[in-house]
Amino acid sequence: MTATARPYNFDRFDRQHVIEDVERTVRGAGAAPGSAAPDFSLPAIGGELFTLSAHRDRPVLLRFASYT
Amino acid sequence: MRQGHPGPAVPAYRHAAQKRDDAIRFVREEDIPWDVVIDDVDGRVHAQYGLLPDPTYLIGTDGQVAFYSYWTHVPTLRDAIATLLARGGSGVVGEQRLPHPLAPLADGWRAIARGLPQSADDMEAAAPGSTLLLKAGSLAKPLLAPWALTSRHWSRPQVAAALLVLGVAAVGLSLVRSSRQLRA
Repeated sequence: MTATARPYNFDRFDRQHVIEDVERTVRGAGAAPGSAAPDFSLPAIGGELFTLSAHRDRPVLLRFASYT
Repeated sequence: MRQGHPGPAVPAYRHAAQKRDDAIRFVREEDIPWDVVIDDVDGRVHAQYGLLPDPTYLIGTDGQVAFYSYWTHVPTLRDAIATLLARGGSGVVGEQRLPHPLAPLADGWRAIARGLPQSADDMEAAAPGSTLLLKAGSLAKPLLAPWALTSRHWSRPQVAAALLVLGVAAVGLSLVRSSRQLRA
């Protein structure tokens, strides 16, 4: 079973999630240092739009979080 | 991001409004001072950045990823920021792909606790002993947190050894609990 075959929003955390996390870590999934950071425009909780490429005047710290 | 450890009070997201409500709660409960943006319900941006749980990226003024970390170790991140700024804000600083275990050990239980009891039951079934370890880490937070905030960057073998020790401890705790349940 591949990672993309499973739903992004899942009802139950299971062992396959652990395996996928370990596999992605070992493989070095994601945007590697030196690669272009994927640009995005997303709403902030205040409603205003945040566009990554509009913040080139200083470095940006991007942290992905989960409530649980 | 998705609901990493869903439970009765924190189900999987079906609508963007649910993510926004949780983001607002997260900011309030964790006292977060920085800007928080909300990915779409299918995690489009999260997928572009690798789908790892709780990764941290430092992006330079050249638009490139300068540093990447699986979870976050504050002293390592602080050093990465200092190095990047010393280089004028651009260039490659490096990565910490193996997660530094101290911070999640000290504070990981807080996230799981929001989805009880299902979140802990599922976590325990997926990784036996892990919830016992996180509970122990939560109790030992007064000792672990200062260590997590001051310990320097660990080499890959050091992190691997620490994760191995924690894994053995988790399995040991799980076996002890199972044997007690069998005797009861």
